Amino acid sequence: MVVIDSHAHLFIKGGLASFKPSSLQMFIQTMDRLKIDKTVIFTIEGLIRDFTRCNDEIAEAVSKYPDRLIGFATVNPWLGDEAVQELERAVGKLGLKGLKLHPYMQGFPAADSMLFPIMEKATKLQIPVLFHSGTPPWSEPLQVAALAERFPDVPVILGHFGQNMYGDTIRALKMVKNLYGETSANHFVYAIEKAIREVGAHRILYGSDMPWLEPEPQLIKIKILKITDEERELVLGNNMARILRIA
Amino acid sequence: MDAHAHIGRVNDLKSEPETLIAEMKKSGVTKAVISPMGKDIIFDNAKANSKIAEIVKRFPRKFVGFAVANPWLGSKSVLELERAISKLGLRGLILHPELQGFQADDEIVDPVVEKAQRLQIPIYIPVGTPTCSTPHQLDLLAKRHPKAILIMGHMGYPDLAPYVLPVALKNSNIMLETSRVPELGLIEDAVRRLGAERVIFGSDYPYSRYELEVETVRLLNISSADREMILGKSLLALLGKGR
Repeated sequence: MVVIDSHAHLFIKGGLASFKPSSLQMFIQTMDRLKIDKTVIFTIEGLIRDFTRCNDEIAEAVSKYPDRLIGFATVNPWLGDEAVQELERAVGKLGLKGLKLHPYMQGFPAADSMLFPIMEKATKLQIPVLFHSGTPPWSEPLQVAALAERFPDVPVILGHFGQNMYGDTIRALKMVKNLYGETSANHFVYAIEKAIREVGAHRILYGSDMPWLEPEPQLIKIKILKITDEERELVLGNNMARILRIA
Repeated sequence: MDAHAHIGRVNDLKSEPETLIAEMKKSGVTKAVISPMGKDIIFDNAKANSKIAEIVKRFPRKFVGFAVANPWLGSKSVLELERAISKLGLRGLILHPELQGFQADDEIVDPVVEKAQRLQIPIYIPVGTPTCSTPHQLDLLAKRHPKAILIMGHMGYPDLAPYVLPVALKNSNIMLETSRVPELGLIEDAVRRLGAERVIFGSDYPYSRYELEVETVRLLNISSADREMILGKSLLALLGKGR
């Protein structure tokens, strides 16, 4: 079994004002303590500005701990072609493995046609796209689902399991097969169990939202789910390994 | 002591007193505030309050009951609150802007809030759901009723958490409740800046679970005196006011 945290932030030095920088060492120590094998990291700053530099910094972090960290790119879709080309570079040249988008912070409706060129590129690059979800009016699970439905070859991940909109998350998972639910920050334990029961554990991913959130409760949450050991292994890492095509 | 657990049923989600007590025992929770869930918060509040009172009567050492009184019903809701507290022995009020359908600062809540204040009972309001229940709406409500005790459920989570502390700092009659809050740093900040006596542990059972919610409080980087305060003393002090 492999444990993969599918949602963590690297806050970089001199980044956006209110985020204190997180050291890589702290990440690795925390992962060791909680027995997390690999963690997906991306910046927050790159959602807004300087995404080229931010993607370089993620690639550099991954190069220091290639067995422990998985880098996701960030681009700002408002910049059109520039964002698409940067995604191509971040995956093709830097070796990043996925894309994080945040409709709420970046200010676009998740199903907007502005996203189509990026999703087409993600299809070609065969990478997953992780969305912040659960914040109306831009980041609703059903908006993300509408986009995912147009691009059936892209694994699309609903970050935070749609927060309080978990009911829509479960309905969206039933409708759109390339959609996944990621559990960080969401304490509606019963809703995660319901999704596993009604949709299947193969569509649920463990995530921590570290270092924004302390990772321990987020892991405890997965451990207390009333599911089989096999289902828990899928949620904790096997699903993400399959999506990222890592053994 | 848990400040926020539900008894009842919503679709396939069910909570019964016996199972709740078993869950409490597993995590060392000795007492819980229980209130109705789902449509019982909206319709037929009298029946729901009587049912909660009956459960409290069966398990008086385990449960304290909070009442529901839909503010859309005006004077009828005020009378029901009076009955639930004075006759049935319930000890707090739950207002639910999202389910009952009003903005938390709307004037329709004034009669029940005034009644709760006269009865010296705390008012629990889940906060964090735009468009109807935001910290800034609680700010207006708290200012209009400076003597009413308001408990902000879920500390504004998910998206409105950053605005909870600034609002609570301005209004000494606002308390914060921790259920489903995943951000330890936010709770620690609240303890530091407001004092632990204004922070209250809750579970939101059966939506969340004790193993997770108790662990969240256990992991907080605070003094053991502050932890004891959050885990029961803060709430007991509020409940004492009505007796």
